Parts: sequence; structure tokens; C-alpha cells
Amino acid sequence: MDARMQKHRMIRWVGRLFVLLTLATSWGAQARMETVAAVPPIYWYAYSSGMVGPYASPDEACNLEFTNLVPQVPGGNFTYLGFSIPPNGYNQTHTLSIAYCSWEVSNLPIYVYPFQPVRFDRAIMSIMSCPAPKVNPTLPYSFDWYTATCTREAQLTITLSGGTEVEPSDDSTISTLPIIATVKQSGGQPPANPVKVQVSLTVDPKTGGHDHGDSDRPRGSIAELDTCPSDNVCWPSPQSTGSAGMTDGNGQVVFNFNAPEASGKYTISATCDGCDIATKPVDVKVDGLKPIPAMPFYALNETNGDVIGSKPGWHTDNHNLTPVAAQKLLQIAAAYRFNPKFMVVVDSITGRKDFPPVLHINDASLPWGGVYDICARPGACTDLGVVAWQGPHAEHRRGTVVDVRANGEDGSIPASKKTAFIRLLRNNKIPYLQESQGTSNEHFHLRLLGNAE
Amino acid sequence: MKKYILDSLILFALAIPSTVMALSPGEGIVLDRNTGDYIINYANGVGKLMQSRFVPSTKIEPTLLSRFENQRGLIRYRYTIKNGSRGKQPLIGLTFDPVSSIHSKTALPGTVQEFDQTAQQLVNDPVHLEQYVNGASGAMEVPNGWSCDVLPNGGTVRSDFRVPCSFDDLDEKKRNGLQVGNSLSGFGFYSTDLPGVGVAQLDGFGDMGPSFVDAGPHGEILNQLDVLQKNDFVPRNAAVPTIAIPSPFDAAVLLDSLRAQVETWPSKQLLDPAFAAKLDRSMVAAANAFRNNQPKAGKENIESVRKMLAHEHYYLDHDDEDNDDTPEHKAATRLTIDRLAARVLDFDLRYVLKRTEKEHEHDHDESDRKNDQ
Repeated sequence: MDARMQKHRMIRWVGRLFVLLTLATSWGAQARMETVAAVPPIYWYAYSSGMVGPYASPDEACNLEFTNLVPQVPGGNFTYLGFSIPPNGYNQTHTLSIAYCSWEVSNLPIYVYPFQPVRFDRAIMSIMSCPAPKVNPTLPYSFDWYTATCTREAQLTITLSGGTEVEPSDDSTISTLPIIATVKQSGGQPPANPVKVQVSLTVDPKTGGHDHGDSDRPRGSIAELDTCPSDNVCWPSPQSTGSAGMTDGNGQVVFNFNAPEASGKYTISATCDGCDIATKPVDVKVDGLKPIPAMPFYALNETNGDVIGSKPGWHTDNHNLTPVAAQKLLQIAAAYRFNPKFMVVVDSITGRKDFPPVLHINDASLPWGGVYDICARPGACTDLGVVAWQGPHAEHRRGTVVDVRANGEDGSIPASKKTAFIRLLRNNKIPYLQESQGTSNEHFHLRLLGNAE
Repeated sequence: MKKYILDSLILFALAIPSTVMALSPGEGIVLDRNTGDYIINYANGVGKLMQSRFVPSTKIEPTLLSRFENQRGLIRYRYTIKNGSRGKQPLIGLTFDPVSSIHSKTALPGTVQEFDQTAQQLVNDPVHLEQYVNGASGAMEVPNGWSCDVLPNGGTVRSDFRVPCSFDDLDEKKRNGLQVGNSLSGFGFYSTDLPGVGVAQLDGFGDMGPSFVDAGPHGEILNQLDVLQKNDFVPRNAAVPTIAIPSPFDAAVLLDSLRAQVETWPSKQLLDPAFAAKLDRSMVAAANAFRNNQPKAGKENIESVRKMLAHEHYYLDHDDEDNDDTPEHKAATRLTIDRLAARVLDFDLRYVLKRTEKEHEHDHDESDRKNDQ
């Protein structure tokens, strides 16, 4: 082999090695993606023996005879085929791509790349477009068939910084959490031109002790807004045309997360034109609440073992206090348990006296505090009806308030000792409210630390 | 003074709208001047206006008499209460808060945390736990039918206590307790601290707290109810242990503590500021004299203060008398200093003198012993 041939082989091997190294380094390095929603123009087509359209609405498409051929698709670059939910008729509010106009299966095959053959009769289709990118428009979006979104490699990176914990609103002065969104180019410098950051909020619905969580659960709000009603982009509002959300010279936007009344796990998400998506989990909670320790001087459970005040499926973790409040509860309960003035006659013939049952402890606070929406449960509040994610269980939000049974049932403070119990509270500087007096829900609402929450 | 009143009025005017704004429409707490009760108008959970009546515990015109004497190094405090004839409720409660350094044969819980720890340690020993829970009350002298507790007062000073005393057999109809026109003595305790002038809280048999037929109110009105409950008593001045005696004894330090106590009196309307300045000059001179090891000058200045006090009120050194304003006392009473305050200060100064003499004798004995050796 001559030297020329050897050199040639060496170059080929070096080239292969370079390719291998390039593959190895790129393996597992997932590109950060920018994702945007597909946007109008949306066209509706009817399918019978072929595609007919476009039409402005699914109504028009469905009302056709489906006899025309598929026309040339005007405008957009990509098409989307999905599946609609209704088995019968179409749903105009659904972001559907295929909707049924009828449910008469006639084994007509439709071949649409890349899906498997789908058999529909008289289907309608929508066609979507990807928008032109605002940052570096020379790199267009690709349509993602599976998510019905448009994606490309992110041109900018966005990060969220700030605290990870904030208190629920209404009874707190620290229920607002400042967050900083920082946008950078790949080289680390801020974007050449200001970009608009868009923020959305989500909540894990069953967190914070609310076993009844649902999709209507309030998410809190951003900046000046009162609420973020859905998981969609919330701030700046779509109608906003001002500078809200625009990055400053450092590529930053500062905004506040305003916590709702309910504690739980929330997620702040932010993106911008050209950005990937940054997420930041935030715990909305009153810090430092602990389960009330089991002690023989008070009862947390009924005699059958049920947790007093617990409502499975709604709120089951209802006995939480700050440690100091729990100590105060213990002090009161022990005084009630051992002070002879609380003894009652248990045998009218002999006049024998004994101590009444220990204090029966109903609701304190949920594990992370916040609103304790007892009226979320249907039938729980006959006078108020269903009231979710807000009062009327006043206070009970910060682990310093507890209810004590006084309704005449098992474990209740005896009627003849209520005045003495009130005096005990007063002597211990514990303000109280006697609530639902004369009803089956009568109880003492104790402010264990001497203050309204 | 006019400017002060004007400023106060402006502040008041500003405060009212801000409070009202925080309430729901129609909500508020109103004093019914015919009955003396409070009418609570509140919005329930669905905004419906509801009403509740709260009978305060302040429909009494009580008198509190304080006595204090030095008994072998401990100060004995005794009290008599009288439910004035113009009152409308039985008197059922007397509370001292704060009270310092109560002397007790049993351990007193200094803090809520200490109580909690001990209760948890004794959780399986109910006999001792019961003794612990009720033991603190043994530090008190209590008349028949009443009981007193000694509780941590929750303040920053570990030896500060709250001492609430109550009539025991409270009935549902709010009829029993110390009836109008009657008086009751027998309350008392011992302390290692000298007296100052504190405020005792007396209360009649009212509701003691608000009650509601439903879940009650929400929001701002809860804070207002809180304030109402916390002030639901009639205050009266009382001689209570306040001033710790330094150990080892130091007359100058003790005099400084007395001065700090006296400085609070003008704002409590117990002492005329001009007279306060005169008293203070002599007390400063006394403290400095002791600090400079000139006990004779120190004593002279203390005597000078005592003379000033004696000029204002007679019989200040009759410790076993109370501060009842007999005609004889009234004749001598001037407006420069409250009689109870004068008695307290005179007592405290006499204590300083006595201890100083004792220390002096002790020093002499020590030096004699050394000379003998």
C-alpha cells in the first residue's frame, strides 16, 4: 500500500471517528424545545369520498353531501388529525380535528399519514397552521401531530427564580411571592430585543389537605390580575397591549404570584417568543403546623376510632396546630380534666361525682393551613349550600384555632359546666366564640394564642 | 394640650372610616345604652345579616383594697374586693397580670412550654399530674367558694405570672358570685418582690364571650370582637409584686428599679409630673450616694423622699391598713400622688433603709469577727 492510500484510509477513519464522537456527545442531550399553539387559519373539510372544503365552521362541513374532491389546501403548512370525543355529532367547543357528523360506520378507509388507517363515515377535518416565529423566523416551527402544537429548538432559554413557599391569602400579609423570569440567548446574553414573557398557573387539585380537589380549584393569580381561571396563559392577559410581561434590558421580567386562599402545590410556568418553558413549583402553606399530639387529656377520635370532624373524600387531616397552640390546648385540656370544679354527679342516689369526658376536639387546621372549606361537601351546610374553596369556617387557617364539642352528645362539655369552662378560657386569656348555640353543631371556637387569626 | 386633643380627634376621624370600610355592609358592634349590652350585627356565610347580643362583664363598680407587709423577708400581699352598690352584676372574677416571683412550696410552671413538658413526662402518672396541674393554686390564699390559678402569663419574663381568681359555683342564670353591696377579703399570696402599682381586672357575671346561633361572623368584625373580649373587665389599681430585689443586695440598683417604676406613674395619672421630678431628684441623689459608698447621704435622701410623701398623705407607713379613703385620709390627700402609689413607694423605700441597715450591721459584724481573729 502506498503512502497515498494509507493517508486516504487514515482520513476516512478519522472522519468515522469524528462522526462517532459527534453522535456520542449528542446522545442524551435533549434539545430544549420551544412550543407554541397552532393558530388559525383553521379550515374545515368534509370527507365522504374525498375532502371537500374549506368551510368556515364544522356546521357547514357536516351539512354537505360529501361529494366533492379534496381541494388544494390554502395557506398552512401542516395538517393535524386527531380524535374528537363525541361519538355522535361534533363538539364545537372542543379543539377537534376530526369530528363525526354521524355514527354510521360504512367501512370507508381513510389513509392519513402517519396514522394507521382510520375508518370513518362522513368525517370532518380541520387544518391548522403554525405561526411564523417572532424570534429568528428563518427557523420555522414543525407541527407536532401528537400534541397539535408547533415546535422547534428553543432560540432563547427562560428560567424562573424566587421563593418556593408562600402563605395562603386572606389571613396573611405574606401571600405574595415575587418571581423573576430571566430570558437569555444561547450565549448567555439577554435577547437583542425585548420579548414578551407569558405566565400560566396550575394546581395539583387534591393537595393541601383538600381531598375533594377539582378542576375548578382556584389557582391564584399573577401580578395585577384577580384570578387565573384556567391552566392557559394567564398573564399578561391576551387583551394586554402594553409593556406588561416585556423583558427589560437584562432580559428579566418581575411579577408576583398571588396565592389563593387554599393551601397546596402550585406550579408557575413561563415561556416567551423563542423560549422553551420554565416551571417553578410553589408550596402555598402556613409553615410549621404539626398534627396535634395524641394525649389522654383530650380526644381526637370518636370511640369507634373515627377521626373527629374528618370527612373522607373531603378533608381527613383536620387536626393540625402550631406547637405553641398545641401546648396551650394541652394546658386547657389538662385543667379541665383535673380541676374538681368540673366534676359532675354521675350517681344521683349516692351523689358520687366524677370528671366529665375529656374535651373532644373537632376541626383545627388542615396540614398546610389555608381556607378550610367545610361547606364544599354537599349537605354539610344546609343554610349556606355548597361553598367550595372559601369560608365560612372562619379562621381555622393558621393552626391557632380549634373547635371543642359542646352539643350535648357523647364527649361534649356538660351543659352545667359550660359556664365554668368559659371561665377557664377567660382565666387563661383564650378568647372564644360559642357557635351554633342550641344546635347539634354547638361548639366552642377557641383562639388558643389569644388572638383572632 | 389643645393641639393634642385636635390631633387625637383627627386620628380618631381617620381611624373610624378605615375600620368601617373593612366591615361588610350592615356589620358592626353597637352599645345599647339602655341595657349596657353590645348588639353584634354580622353577616353570615352567605351575607345574610344576623344579630347577637353580648352582655359585658363590666356592669359593676368594684373597689379593690391592697395590703402588703414584710414577713421575714417575704412580702405578703392581701386583697379585699367590694362589689359597689351601684353595680348590676354579681362580681365573679379578680385577675392580676402580671405578677412577679410568687412564692410557692410547689414548682410553678414558668412557661407554657414547661407545663407541656411536665405534662408529657407525667402522662402515665395521673396522680402526680393532677397534683402538678392543681398544685400552683396552693400558692394562693383564697376565700371560701373561690379559687385562684397561677399561670404563666406568656410574657418574656419567666417569673411573671397571671393570677386569675374566680367564684367557683357559677350558675347558668348568672346570679351567683359576690353580690352587689358586699365585700370579700382573703385573697393573697407571698412574693419575693417588692410592690409596684399594677392593674387588677375585675369582672361581673356577664356573658364572658359572644355566642351565635350559627357559625358566627367572619372577617374584620372578628377582630373587633377580640378587642371587646380582651377588654371585658373593670380595671382597678392594685399593689402587686413588681420590683425584684437584687441579689446580692445593692441599694443603688434597687433604687434605680424603684425610679423606673415611679417613672411610669405620671402616664397612669398616679403622680403629678412636677412632683415626680422632685421625687426623682432625691431618688437619683440617694442612688448615687449608695453607689459612691456614702450610705448616710443615701439614707438622708430616702428620708427626704419619704417626708415629701408624708406631706401628701398621712399614715403611709401603716402597712396593715388598706388604702380605703377614710375621712381622716381624705383630709390629707392631695392630688400630687395617688395614695396607693404613695404607700407603695414609702414601703419600698423603707425596705431599702431596713436592708441597708442590716447590711451595715452585717458588715460591722464581719469586720469585728475579722478583728477578733
